[in-house]
Amino acid sequence: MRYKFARKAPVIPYAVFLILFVILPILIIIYYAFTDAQGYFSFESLVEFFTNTTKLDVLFVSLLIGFFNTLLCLIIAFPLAYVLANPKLNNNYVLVILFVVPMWINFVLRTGAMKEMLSWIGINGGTHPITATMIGMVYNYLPFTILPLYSTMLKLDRSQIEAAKDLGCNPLQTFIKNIIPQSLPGIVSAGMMCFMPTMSSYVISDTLSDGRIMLFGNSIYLSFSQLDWNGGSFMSLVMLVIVFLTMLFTRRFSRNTDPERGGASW
Amino acid sequence: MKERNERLTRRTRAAIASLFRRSGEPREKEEPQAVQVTPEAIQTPQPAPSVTPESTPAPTDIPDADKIIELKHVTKVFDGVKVIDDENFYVRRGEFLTLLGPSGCGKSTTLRMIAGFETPSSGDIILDGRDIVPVPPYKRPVNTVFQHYALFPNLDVYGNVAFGLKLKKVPVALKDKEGNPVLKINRSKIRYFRRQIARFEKDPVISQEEKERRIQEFQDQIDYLKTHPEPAYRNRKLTDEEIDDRVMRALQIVDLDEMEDRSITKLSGGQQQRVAIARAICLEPKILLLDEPLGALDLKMRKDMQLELKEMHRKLGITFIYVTHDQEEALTMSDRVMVMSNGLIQQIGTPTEIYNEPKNAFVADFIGDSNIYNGVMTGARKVRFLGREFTCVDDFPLNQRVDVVVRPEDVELFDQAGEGTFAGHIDSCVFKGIFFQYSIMVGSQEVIVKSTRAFPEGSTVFMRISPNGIHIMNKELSLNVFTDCVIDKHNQLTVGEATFDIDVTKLLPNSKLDDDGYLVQGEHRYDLSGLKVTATIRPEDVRITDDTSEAQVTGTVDSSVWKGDHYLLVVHTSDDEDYVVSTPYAFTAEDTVGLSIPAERIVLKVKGDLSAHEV
Repeated sequence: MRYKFARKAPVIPYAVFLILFVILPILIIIYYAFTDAQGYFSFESLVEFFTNTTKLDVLFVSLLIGFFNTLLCLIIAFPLAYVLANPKLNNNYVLVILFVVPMWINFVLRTGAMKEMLSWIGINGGTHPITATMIGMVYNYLPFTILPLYSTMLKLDRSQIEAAKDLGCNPLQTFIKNIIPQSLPGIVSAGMMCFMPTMSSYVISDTLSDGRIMLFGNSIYLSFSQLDWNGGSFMSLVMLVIVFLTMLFTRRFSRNTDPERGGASW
Repeated sequence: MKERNERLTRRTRAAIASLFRRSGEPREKEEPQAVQVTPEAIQTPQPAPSVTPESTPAPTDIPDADKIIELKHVTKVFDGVKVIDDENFYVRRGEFLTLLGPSGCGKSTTLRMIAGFETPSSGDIILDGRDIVPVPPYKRPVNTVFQHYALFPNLDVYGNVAFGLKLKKVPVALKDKEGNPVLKINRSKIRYFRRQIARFEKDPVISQEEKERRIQEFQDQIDYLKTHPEPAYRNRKLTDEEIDDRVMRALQIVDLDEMEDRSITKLSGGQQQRVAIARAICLEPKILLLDEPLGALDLKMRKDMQLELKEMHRKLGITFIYVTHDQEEALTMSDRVMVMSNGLIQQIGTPTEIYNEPKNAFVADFIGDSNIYNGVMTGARKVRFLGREFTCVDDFPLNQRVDVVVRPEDVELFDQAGEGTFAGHIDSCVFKGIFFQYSIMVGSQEVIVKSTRAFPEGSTVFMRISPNGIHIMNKELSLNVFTDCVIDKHNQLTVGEATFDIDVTKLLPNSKLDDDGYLVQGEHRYDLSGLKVTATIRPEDVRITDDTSEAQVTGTVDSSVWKGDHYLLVVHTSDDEDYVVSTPYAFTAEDTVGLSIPAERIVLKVKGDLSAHEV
């Protein structure tokens, strides 16, 4: 009996943490999402959300910006990670660190500095809200994209690359037909690391576009600041569902490849 | 199992026959210029040339047309170290050549240079009359079966085999409306010669004049091509039907038909191996390169695959170059074996030649079990070793020191003194199934004998070695290799009667000595006392003096040869060991000298199984 207790004991702190900070908040969100201001069960928030075109527009814009930000980050990060992880081109870990260093500086501070620098070259929230937001987004989420890709690239099977060349792939074909499929788990997790926070972020768009671009995160923030707890909770729930669906979708990619080679745990 | 093999072979034969039949006719009509890409070795299958065991022709003996590939003066330098040094050999069309040697001997590097993954620092690789060194791997008509298969896990069996076929392009001659060939400047050929020039400019080995001469040759070729248009081609991909057809035939050959939609990760090791082979042979390469392809299979599977591979080679008629460190595998499968060590070719020959007539002690030691002794020629076809004189068949100059190799199965054992010529004491006897393996002591020297006759341990037996069983070879003078060294209980190295204070931690990477004098590597502890090792000492590391009082070893100078800038001496010590010494100072024969060797310069290698010494 004592032995059994001893084995279970280390789980308790995590279980408590999980219940207090993950499960309970979700339950509270669900509770508020499906009640009205008086605390009675209702679909008021649901109906309100799906009939309000501004809220749906905001969701659509957020998805779009999230998608393009992910795409841009991947396009920039992929070759970079490949070069960084290739021992022939780079055997210096310092370079990798350099790309991650910006993460050490406060996120709001970084964004504020970004705003100043962009306005020097004439891109400010007033004139180019979308450009400014996109630049800020890519800049902020690039390190998150590089790291999972880098760790996958470190584990690339060189003999597979050689096999592809041997079978007639020129360098470009080797890249498309072997290196990309091999690093797919890394691409997927990098994409998730980029897409999900972009969706919910509001500081970047708020600061850089002078409040002209409203993302889903801004919208949720606004609801709560206007004491519309039920509406805000329902939007948070929508957000949760989107995140859940993305994870469901991306798991399909990482599952049928070798788990040892994945960067999915990032 | 036997029944299955027969069935399999019959199917394999049928499949291979159909490969030849179908690949020939229709393509020849639509691609009259396909010579460059489509390997004729497949279209006109020839049986592998039968190699007669009694003669190995030197590289120049056979006409160039019979050589499918030839390496000329190939040298590869990695970080300033020559891993391949002036390698010269050729492979006959349709031959099964095995590169055999211990790990790090350069056999895999050689294979990778042929495949195109490594570029030689100097030298030419001539494939069918054309130097392929500047040709990238994806354009070479050779394919590789990798050690760990390197299959693509994102594709199924069919996808893996079809991978190369989907990329393959066949040239079709361009014709104008009247049917005359279209002439164009051949830019790809010019690019090829430009790469050749770039390669020679960086070549660190050949002389400046040679370099300039060859670069000029290529420049002339480029100038010629720039003004002389050649018939142009257009490249065509294979159609889906052609791909389908070739994939299915390749899968039939490796006995994997009806498995084409399986996932790679769900296959056994042996099946993955077959997919890897199918993937390579469906491209009909001129040469199939196999890099220890059976290394990851279990013993039983490996034996079956050896026979199957040999059968495939015979039927396909493709040239095979096979890399292995397993001498038995090499002897079983090959038409010829090339034994390598330290980046040098030690011997090339048929399996029988390699086994029966090893050129030096390394080959003898590496191929099969053998007894190797230091011997002296005492007369015409007389050699002295094991403390007595034997008649042999090789003739060497009188008094020359030689290596004598005796195969364990060439020693006959008798219980009567009359039939055997010399006596020995049976130290140990191990039953090996079809024979007994004896360790017999003759004085202080050990003779390993394999015999079907049973003798009790501890008894005295009489041995006879027929002249044909005694192989005599020139002693290697390049290195001091002491194969019978032992580590004593103080972790010192014993060579003959001399001891050296060596650093035993060099035997194992990341190891250290603990307080009890045991060698510790990770979780393993080894008691090294009694461990047999091979010690290698370079002649230039041996210090030679007149002063015998301070020396570790004393001996007399046996011979002295002037090598242009130094003397190469052989010093024969009192404990019957020979040291090769390189020195700028002159010593004359019969001088008594002292030798000392810095312990850190002695290179050690564990002989036999270290795990027997684990504590």
